[in-house]
Amino acid sequence: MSVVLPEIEYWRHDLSSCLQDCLATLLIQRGHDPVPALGAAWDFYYPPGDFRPEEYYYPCRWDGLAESVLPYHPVTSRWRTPPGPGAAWAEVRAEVEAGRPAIVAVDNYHLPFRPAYGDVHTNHLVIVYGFDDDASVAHVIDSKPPRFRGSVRMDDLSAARGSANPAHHDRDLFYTQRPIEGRWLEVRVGGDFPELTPEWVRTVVERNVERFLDREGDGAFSGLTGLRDYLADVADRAGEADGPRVMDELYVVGWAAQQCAGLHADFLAAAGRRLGRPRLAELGRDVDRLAHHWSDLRMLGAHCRAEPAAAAGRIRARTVQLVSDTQRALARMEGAVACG
Amino acid sequence: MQSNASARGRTLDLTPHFDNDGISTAGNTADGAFNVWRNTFPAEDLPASGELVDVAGIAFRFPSKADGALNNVVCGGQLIEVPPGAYDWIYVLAAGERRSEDPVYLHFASGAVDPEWLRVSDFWPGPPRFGEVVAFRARSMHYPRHAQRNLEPTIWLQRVPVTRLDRLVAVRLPENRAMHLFAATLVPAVRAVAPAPEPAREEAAVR
Repeated sequence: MSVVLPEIEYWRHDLSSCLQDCLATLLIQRGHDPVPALGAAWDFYYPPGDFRPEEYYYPCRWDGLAESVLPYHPVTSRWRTPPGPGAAWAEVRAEVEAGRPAIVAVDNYHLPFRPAYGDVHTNHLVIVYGFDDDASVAHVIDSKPPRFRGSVRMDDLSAARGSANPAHHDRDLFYTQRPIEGRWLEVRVGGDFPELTPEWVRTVVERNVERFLDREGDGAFSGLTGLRDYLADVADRAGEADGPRVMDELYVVGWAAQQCAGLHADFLAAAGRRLGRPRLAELGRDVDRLAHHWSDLRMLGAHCRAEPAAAAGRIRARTVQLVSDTQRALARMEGAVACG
Repeated sequence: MQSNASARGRTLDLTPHFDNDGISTAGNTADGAFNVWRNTFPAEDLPASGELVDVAGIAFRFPSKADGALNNVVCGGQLIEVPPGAYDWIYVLAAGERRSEDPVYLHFASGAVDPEWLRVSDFWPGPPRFGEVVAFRARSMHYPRHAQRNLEPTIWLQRVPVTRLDRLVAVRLPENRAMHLFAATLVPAVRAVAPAPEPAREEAAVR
């Protein structure tokens, strides 16, 4: 049997992870514009210790990954961890046969089209959108450069999905030592997506601001105070024995925050253009600035793994700027909402 | 990019501040580490070491590509003295580990200091998020163990305005680990700048 699902397109944002890339491809296949969906929510949320070494790590405020990335849209997801290699392929094959592309976790070390092939272990997501049983290949799309869309030998895909994801050398960084275990993300995209109207955008902005200013975090670092407290905690822990792991956490958790800010900035910019509201585009630029702070923070995490304590002062200084600029963005959003 | 004697600007020597090697040859892709993954730009797709190159009408002195040579500065708050003079723009050849932006502080002969924005897009394949121009786009990305084709890293042409009508004497770079500068060139002011009045400088010093 051979299946190739139609309308499978590349999508990538320069700050996105493979998680948003894959979700966007699924949204496009269902006829939806990814930016209004992926960029509507703006948040900071991190339950202490939740970090996992995955390129697609995203701290979930709500029950479900897609529910947390796209809280204003009818998209749900559940991780599936099949009991073995046979089931791992059978479940994905069944999903594709039912007409739904399947997001699967892989170790790039085993995928010939990735730069990391035979070199670096990592924990990445790609989409399976077809298969050919006779040729023993799966059709895979990966939007991360150098992007790829085509057939992959089943043996390679199985190795990538079954990898123990070990760390063997000093470039096996951040996303290793978490076995892939055949994980795949079952995603369901509902039918009723909100239209990009002034009223809906206003509601979204109001909810985002409320959440950012809410001091209740259920034990998690949440909102503006959570952002400040999390980064203070990182700076405090940088000099402790597990400093290198703290830097890894900053790099990975910071990426989720950076993705969220970067995509929300583009959401506001797009809304501003489409609705003829220049102020929204200005708010978007304010939020983009926050994403740019995360570049420095994340690179401090990456480059200071060997000497984490040396990064503490710089992290504290950047935190002051990030928190201050976040307060400014929130104040401007409140003002914009008040003005209609 | 081409050699052109008519290209504008006064090249600025960043060599004393270089602290990173971001360029390697195909014969030794393990040389250097632009980022934590030890990716580097391929020397073969860049101008010759020390060459005076024209990028969109601006003259730049390209840094050394030799194995082991440092060829870019990671923005870490360095104070870079410049030949005192009136300038309109500071042009840079730059690349980011992810895009970022931060103020540079411009120091003037009068004692005045102005912040101005430096904005640099990601060196990974992607759009110029700050309206930069592509200075150099390589055909491959170097990894320590191989050269990856179809992965095209970029060095961007960016500029910072000098709005104060005063003589620039130094530039303080941002403290931002994501931003790298390979070269810089000062473009002289179109309009002549009057010297700053002495009383104002003394007054400022007293305060």
